[in-house]
Amino acid sequence: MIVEPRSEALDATGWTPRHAATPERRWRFTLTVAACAVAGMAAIVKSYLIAQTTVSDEAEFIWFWAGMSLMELPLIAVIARRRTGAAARSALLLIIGFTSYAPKLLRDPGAPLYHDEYAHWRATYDIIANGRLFEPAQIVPVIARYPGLHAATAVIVDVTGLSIWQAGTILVLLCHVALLAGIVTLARAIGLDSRAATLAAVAYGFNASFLYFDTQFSYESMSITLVVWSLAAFAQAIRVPSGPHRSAWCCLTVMLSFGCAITHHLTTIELAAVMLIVSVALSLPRAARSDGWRGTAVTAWLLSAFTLAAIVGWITFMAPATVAYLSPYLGTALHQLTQMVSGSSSGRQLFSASLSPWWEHVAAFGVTVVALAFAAAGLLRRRRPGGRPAAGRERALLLGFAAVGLAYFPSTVFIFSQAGAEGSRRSWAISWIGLSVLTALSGAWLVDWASLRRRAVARAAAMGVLTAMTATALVGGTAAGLDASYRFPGPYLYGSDARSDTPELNAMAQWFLARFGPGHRMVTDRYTGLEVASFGLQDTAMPSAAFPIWDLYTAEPGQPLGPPLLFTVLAEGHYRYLVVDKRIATDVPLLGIYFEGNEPGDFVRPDGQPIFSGRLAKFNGVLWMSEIFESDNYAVYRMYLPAGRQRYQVLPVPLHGKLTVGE
Amino acid sequence: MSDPPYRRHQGSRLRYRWPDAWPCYLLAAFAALALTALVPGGPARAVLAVPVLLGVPGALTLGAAQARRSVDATAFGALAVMLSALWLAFATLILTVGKVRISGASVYVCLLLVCCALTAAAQRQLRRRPPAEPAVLPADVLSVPDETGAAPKRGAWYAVGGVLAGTALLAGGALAYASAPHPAPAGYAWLAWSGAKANGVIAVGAQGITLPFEITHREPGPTEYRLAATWTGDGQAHALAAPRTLRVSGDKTVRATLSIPQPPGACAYRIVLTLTELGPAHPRSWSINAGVRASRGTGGPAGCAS
Repeated sequence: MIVEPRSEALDATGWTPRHAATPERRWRFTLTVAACAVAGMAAIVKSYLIAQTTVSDEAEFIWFWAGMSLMELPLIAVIARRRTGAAARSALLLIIGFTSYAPKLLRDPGAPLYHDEYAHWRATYDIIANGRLFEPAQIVPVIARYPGLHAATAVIVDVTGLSIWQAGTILVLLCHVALLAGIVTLARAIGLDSRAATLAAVAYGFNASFLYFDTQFSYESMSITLVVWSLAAFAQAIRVPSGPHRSAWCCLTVMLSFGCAITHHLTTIELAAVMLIVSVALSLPRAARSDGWRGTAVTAWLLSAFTLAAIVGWITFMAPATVAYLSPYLGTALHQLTQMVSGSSSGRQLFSASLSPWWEHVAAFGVTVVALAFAAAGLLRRRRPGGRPAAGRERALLLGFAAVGLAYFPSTVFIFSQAGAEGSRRSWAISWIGLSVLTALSGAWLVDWASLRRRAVARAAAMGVLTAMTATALVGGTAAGLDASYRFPGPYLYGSDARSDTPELNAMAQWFLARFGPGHRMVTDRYTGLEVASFGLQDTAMPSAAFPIWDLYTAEPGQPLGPPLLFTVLAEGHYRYLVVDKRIATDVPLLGIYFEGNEPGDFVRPDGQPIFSGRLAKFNGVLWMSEIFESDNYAVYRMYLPAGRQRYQVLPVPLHGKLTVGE
Repeated sequence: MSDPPYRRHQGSRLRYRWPDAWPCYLLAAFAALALTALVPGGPARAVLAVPVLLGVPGALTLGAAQARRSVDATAFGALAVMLSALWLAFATLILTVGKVRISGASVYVCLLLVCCALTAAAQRQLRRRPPAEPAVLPADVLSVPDETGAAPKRGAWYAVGGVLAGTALLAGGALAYASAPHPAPAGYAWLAWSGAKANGVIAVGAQGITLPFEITHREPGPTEYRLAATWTGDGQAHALAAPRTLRVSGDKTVRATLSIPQPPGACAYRIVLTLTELGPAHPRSWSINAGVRASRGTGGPAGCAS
């Protein structure tokens, strides 16, 4: 185990505490850090208040990052100090865990806003209402077969009487905090001392998913914590002596990895991959040879095989639709990358529709450079005499997790592919587990190196550089993740998942629910569908090439709606309602899609106008539809399918009625 | 000579010390979860129930697996939370396999049984002597985590302090944000049918029909509207009823009706209600429509088209 040198040894190398830690000094220090944390939280609140009234303003970013830096950097500095005790470090890390949830909590304190959150809200509602798992899910159908998160949330709702959103928030918050504790446990099991292990957790917090994506009410938020704890238990099972201790950690690994398999597909596949990589490392005699290493390797392979069997078995018998759900992403990404390499495609332009300022973009590139620098320093440090553990479990684990961490750098190439960007970004939550261990090794060493500079100027400069690199990682990691429309509140933004929810949309969905009840099948666009299929409790169509609902919208006035096969599917599927967002005819969506990612790519004309412009009024003339609701931006049509042969009066005849208001 | 009373008392205390019987205490806490049903559902009940629900099953699992002493306080707490969350999901799976409806009560009973089994296993582990460790462990074997800077027992209090401080900061931020002024939401208005759900063209009897609808105005101030009813044919709108002007005050819903007699002939008629805002240079307009026809219409004026 890599243990911190004791203070006497440090004194011998020249490191001595510069100030005696008197109680008064300690209190002053504690109060300063606490004041920074409070001021940081206030700055974040200020940034969100600014963001509410502007589409995007640089001030909101400045306040936000000033707040985050004030809140986190002092705590990180205290964690990085040698003098800080292990228990105090754990407590400070817990504070970071809770406070780093603030950006997401303030973003949507009262209701879901992100795409997957609506889906999980509805899935949880269905479990509570029906008392059954595996009911067909809306918005993201595959989540029905991965009930881990929404089943646990439903139980909390049933037992506590909290709302679904409150229960989900508590569960995800606890997962978020437990994630950091899991990284510490994993790093400790790999062989890092408490300081480096806590720094590894801090470094993990710089990955693109940590602040927003993995804090949403979504199955991945729970499963990423389960992955980390599965790996921690796995590493503990490798490192503890054989016997009851190892059996205990093997049991926990099995339980956690099975829990992961019932919660989320992709992260469990990634978990199995990481475990296999580590198992390979544990089977390399050059790295792992020590007493009983063969037994340890067998344990590792058995646990990896179980995890693999768990997810393969779950997909095969419980969630076969997962293959169809995941495979297009990988296939298309590889195809696009091949095209980019061959020069037949220019690839994806990064930050093309981003609302964030230029310096966030720079930091997003910078985080890769910073990570590379720290990882390289970590590897070099390991190669120095005394820095390299002897062959055995520790070295093999370190080798395995270093390999996982280094996978981050080639994975960044996929970010240039339209289809691969999402998968690449999501893989970082896993690869950063290994990367954080590597960077923490060098981080702890660099802090010591900087604090040993004899000249105050050199010391301050070295610490300044380290602080700047940390701040770059903090800003850039998040900037490389979700766009500003997800991160900050603001006015309505057409075609943005997180800024499409308006009181008008909510009122329309509630009007429909109150008037017609739940469970009606309807056709609508992506952004209206999120609200209608969740709080509206309706069942929205999942468009595809075989079910091209966009053809209803694209038909020109005077032309028949079609194709006929679409009406067959609509009639046989009992689709009775069409909800139209009138802005589809005037606005281009921020995300670039109107319905789903598989829609044709020509919905925006070269002049920047949507193809739907001037094509929505036709619905009022379609005789097998009647418009039953119209608000400023939404129209609801009832469809009478299959279309009858009803004949309509066209010539003038005397027909006089009466309007009565308020009676 | 018998022991003095205080000795007997001390003896009974020793018999149920926390380190020797903590699984039983946790089981009792979980069993007491049923009592929280007496507290009104919501945050008050959650404060009592969540720590038990998301702590006890996991802690007992760690006890049963004899892994409690292998991690520090923070890791123990975090792992207990994750294992408890998993047990909630596993309990619903067990109920699903048993074809039992998932509810608060059924999950509670299922988890209580699980906790009883885990408690028995954990108590058994406590009673067993710790296995003899090899005299000299291999160099790369992790024994127990070494806590530096604080005694392990103090580590738990540090963790509690960290949780409280983090929660306080987070709650403070959320409260500050909630209490700050927020921009007023954008207003809107709508027009919608409000009667019985029509399934196709509405049949009108000899006495005619009254179609109810509603106008909802979700804006702060009053607005004047013009309400018109027409029927359309051959691309032209024909007046159906005398238009009405109405003034709707802020945040109000107005109910209205359109009464029409039985239409002549066997054709269906497309009737259209239009609401137009009065006043602004670019007035907003809303419309809804429906098809009606005589319930037993025959012959009548010519001019039907499909």
